[in-house]
Amino acid sequence: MNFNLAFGGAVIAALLSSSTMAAELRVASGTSIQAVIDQAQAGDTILVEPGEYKQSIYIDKPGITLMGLRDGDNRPMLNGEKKLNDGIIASGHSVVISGFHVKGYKGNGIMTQGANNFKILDNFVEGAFYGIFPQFGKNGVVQGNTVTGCEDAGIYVGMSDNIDVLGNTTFGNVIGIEFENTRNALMTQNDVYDNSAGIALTLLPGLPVKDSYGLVVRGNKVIANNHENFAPSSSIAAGVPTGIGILVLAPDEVTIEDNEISDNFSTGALVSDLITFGLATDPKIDPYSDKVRVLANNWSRNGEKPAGVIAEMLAPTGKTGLEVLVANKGRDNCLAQADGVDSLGTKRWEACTPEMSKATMVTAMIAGGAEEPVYTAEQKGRLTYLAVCSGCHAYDSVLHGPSIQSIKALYSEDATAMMAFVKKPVHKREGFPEMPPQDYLGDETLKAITNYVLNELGN
Amino acid sequence: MKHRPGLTAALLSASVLAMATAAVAADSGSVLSDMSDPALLEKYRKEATERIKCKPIDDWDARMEAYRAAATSKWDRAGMGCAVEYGTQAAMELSVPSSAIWAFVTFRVDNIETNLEVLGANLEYFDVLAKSYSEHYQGIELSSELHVRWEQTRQRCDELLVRVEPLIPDVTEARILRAAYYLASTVKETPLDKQNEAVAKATAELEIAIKEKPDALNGLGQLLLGQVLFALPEFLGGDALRAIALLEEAHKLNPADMNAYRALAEAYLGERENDKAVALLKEALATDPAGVNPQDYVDAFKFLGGLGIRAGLPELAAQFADKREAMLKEKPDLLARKETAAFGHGGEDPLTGKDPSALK
Repeated sequence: MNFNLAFGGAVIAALLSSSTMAAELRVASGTSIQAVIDQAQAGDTILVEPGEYKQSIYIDKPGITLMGLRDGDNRPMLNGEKKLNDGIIASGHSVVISGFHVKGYKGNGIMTQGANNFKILDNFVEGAFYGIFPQFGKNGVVQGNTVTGCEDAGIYVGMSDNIDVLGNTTFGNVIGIEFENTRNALMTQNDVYDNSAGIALTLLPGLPVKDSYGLVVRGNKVIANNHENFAPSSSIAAGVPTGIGILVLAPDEVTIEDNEISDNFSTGALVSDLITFGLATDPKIDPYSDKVRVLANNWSRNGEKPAGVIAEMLAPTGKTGLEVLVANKGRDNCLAQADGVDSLGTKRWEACTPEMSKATMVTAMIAGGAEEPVYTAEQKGRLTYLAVCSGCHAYDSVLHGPSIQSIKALYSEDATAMMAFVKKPVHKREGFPEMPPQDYLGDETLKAITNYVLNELGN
Repeated sequence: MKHRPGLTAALLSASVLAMATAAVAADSGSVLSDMSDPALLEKYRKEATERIKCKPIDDWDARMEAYRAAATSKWDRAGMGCAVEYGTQAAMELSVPSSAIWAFVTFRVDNIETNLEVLGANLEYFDVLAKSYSEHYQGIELSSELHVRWEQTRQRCDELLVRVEPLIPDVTEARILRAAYYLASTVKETPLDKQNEAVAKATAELEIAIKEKPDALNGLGQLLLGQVLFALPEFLGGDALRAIALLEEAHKLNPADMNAYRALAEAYLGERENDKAVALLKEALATDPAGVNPQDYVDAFKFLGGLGIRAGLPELAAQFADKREAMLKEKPDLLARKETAAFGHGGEDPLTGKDPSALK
C-alpha cells in the first residue's frame, strides 16, 4: 500500500502548504496595521478590528486581503488627521481592500498603483483629494463603496484597463466617478448625486496613456449634481463645470444607456472635445470623441438652470433645458431620438440603432484575470514616486515641499542619508510643513525611490 | 514691421470653457487646498515680485540695446522678461502721433513702428509665459512667478495700447495687434467671462482687419481668426471649413510660420483630412531653421512630430525628433520642455520610464 501512503502524503503536504500560503492574521484595535502587513506572506488575509488607526498603509505583496471587521456600524477608521497624505496605497496584485472608514488624508484615500486584479469593496471614504483611485491597474473592481467630500474625483479610475465600478454611492465630491485615460470599463448601478459633476469620462493630455475607449455607463442614478465646485483654484478639477450629469471629454466608444439622469441644472450630458476645455495641448491625443452612443435613458428636468461656464456658453443661444449638449467635432456619434430629449450641437449626430445596446454586458473584466508581472526596482521606484512623493514635491519648483532639484543637490552623494531622512523626517526648512514619516513604505521601496530620484529623475 | 508676433500657439490653449478660477475655497484639507490659502499666495507673489526685478537702465539707447539683445530669447523667461520691460520703457518715451497722416507729416512713422514692435514683443512674451505652465500642476513658487509676470505684461501692453489706439482706424497692423492682445492676454490668469468677452472682441476686430488689408503682418489676422473659428463650437459661430480656408491663407502668406503649420495640421486632422495633414507635416519638416526662432522651432517640431504619431506615421515623427534633437544639441540653452510629475499626474511612464511626449 505504498502507493496510497505516498498519495496521502502529497495531499497532506498540499493542504499544509495551502494553509501556510493563506494565513489569517489579525490587527488588534488601534495597533499598527503596517506591522502585520510586513509580517504577512503573499496570499494572507489580514483582519483589522474596529478602532482608530492614525496611519498610512502600503501593501506591495501579492494576494493580500486587508479586511476591516465590522461591529454593526462600527468599522476600523483610518484617520489622516489632515496631516498624513495617503490612507492605503497598494501595488501588490490581487489585493483586496474592504470594510474601512478612511478620512482626513491630504492626498489619496485608497489608491492602487500598478496593481492588477484588485478589489476595493465596501469602504467609506471621506474628504481626500482623490477618494478611491486605482491607477495603472488591469482588471479590477470597485464595488459597494461610499465616497464623499473629495476635491477632485470620489472614485477615480486612472490609466487603467478592464475595470468594473459597481454599486457605489458618491455624493458631495467635485466629480462623483471618473474614468480618465482608461480603456474598457463598466460603470453600473451606482448612485451619483450632489456632486459638481456626476460622472466624468475623460482623456487628459500629457499622460503616458494616450487613448480611452470602450466605456459603458449603464443603469446608474445620476441625480442633482449641482454642488458648487470646491476644487482648489489651481487644480484641473476647478475647470469642471457644475450642474452636469455626465461629462464626456474626448474618449471614444462610449455607451450611455438606461441611466436615470435628472435634475442636473446645467445639462444632463455634456459631450465635449478637448479644444473647448483648452486642453488640446497634447498632439498625440485625438481631442475628439467618436462613437459616443447616447441610447435610451430616463431623463428629467435637466438643464433648467445652467450654471457657471455652461450658462456662459449657452447665453448667446438662449437655450436651456438641454438633456444633451455637444461641443465636439467627433464622428459616428448617435443619440436615441425620443420625446422630451432636447439637444444642442448634434447636427452631425445620427440616430442610434438597437444593436448598439450594451444591456447584456455583465463585466469589463478579463475572464481568467490579468497577468501579474513582478515589477523591477526601477518600476517600483517610479510607481511609488508618482503615487506618494509627487503628492507634495514637484521637480523644479516648490510644491508643498521643496523641489526635487534642491533635494537632489542636497543628497547627490549620500543616498543613505536621504533614505534616513525620508523614513524619519526632521523639520528643517522654515516655511515648509513638516513631512510625514515614510517608513511604512519599507526599506526595499524606499531604496528604489531614492535611487530613482537621485539617479534617474530629470537626468 | 520688423517684428511679427507668433503668439498663436498660446491661443491653442485658449478655450471656451477654460480653467475657470474657482471662487470657492476648498475645506477638505488637501495639499492643493493648503496651497490656495490667500496669505500663502500673497507671500509667494511678493517674493516673486522681488526675485524677478530687472536692473534699472536709465539711458534710452542702452534700454533699446538691452531690449534688442534679448527680446526674442524665448528660452530665457527672465532675460526676455527684462528685455520687453526695457523695450516698453523706451517706447513709452517716444511721442506717438494721433493719426498715421500726422505721423508722416511729422516724421514720426518710426515711433509708431517701435511702439507696435514692442507691443508685439510683449504679446510674444505672453506665449512664453503660457508655455511655462506645467501640463497638469505646478508648484506655488512657479505659479506665483508666472502670475506676477503675467500681470506685469498685461500692464505693459495696456500702457502701449493706449498710445496705439488712436491709430487703429488707419493702421490695420495696430488693429490686428489689439485683437492679438485680447486673445494672448486671456489665455491664463483670466476668469472665464473675461475670456469669452476677449474672444468676441477679437473676432470682430479680426473680421474687419482681414478685409481691410489681407496681407497685413503676413496673414496674422487670418491665422488668429482661423484658430478662433476652429476652436468655437458650431452653435457659437464656429466654422471648421472657413477656419481651414483662413489658415491655408495664413500659411501661404507666411510659409515659415511654425504656428500656421501647427494650427493648420491640427485642423486638417480634426476634419479627417489626413492626406493634407501629412503633406503639410512633410513640408514643415523641410523648414530651414535659420528663418525661425530656435525655441519656436524645437517646440513646433515636438508638436508636429506628435501629430505625426497621431496620424499613424512614426517614421515621420522620428524625423521631427532627429531634427529637434540636433537643434537642442546645437543650442543647449533651448528648453526641451520635459514634463515631470506632480499630484500623481505627468512625468514618465512608470512602467517603461519613457517620456510620454517622446517622438520615438
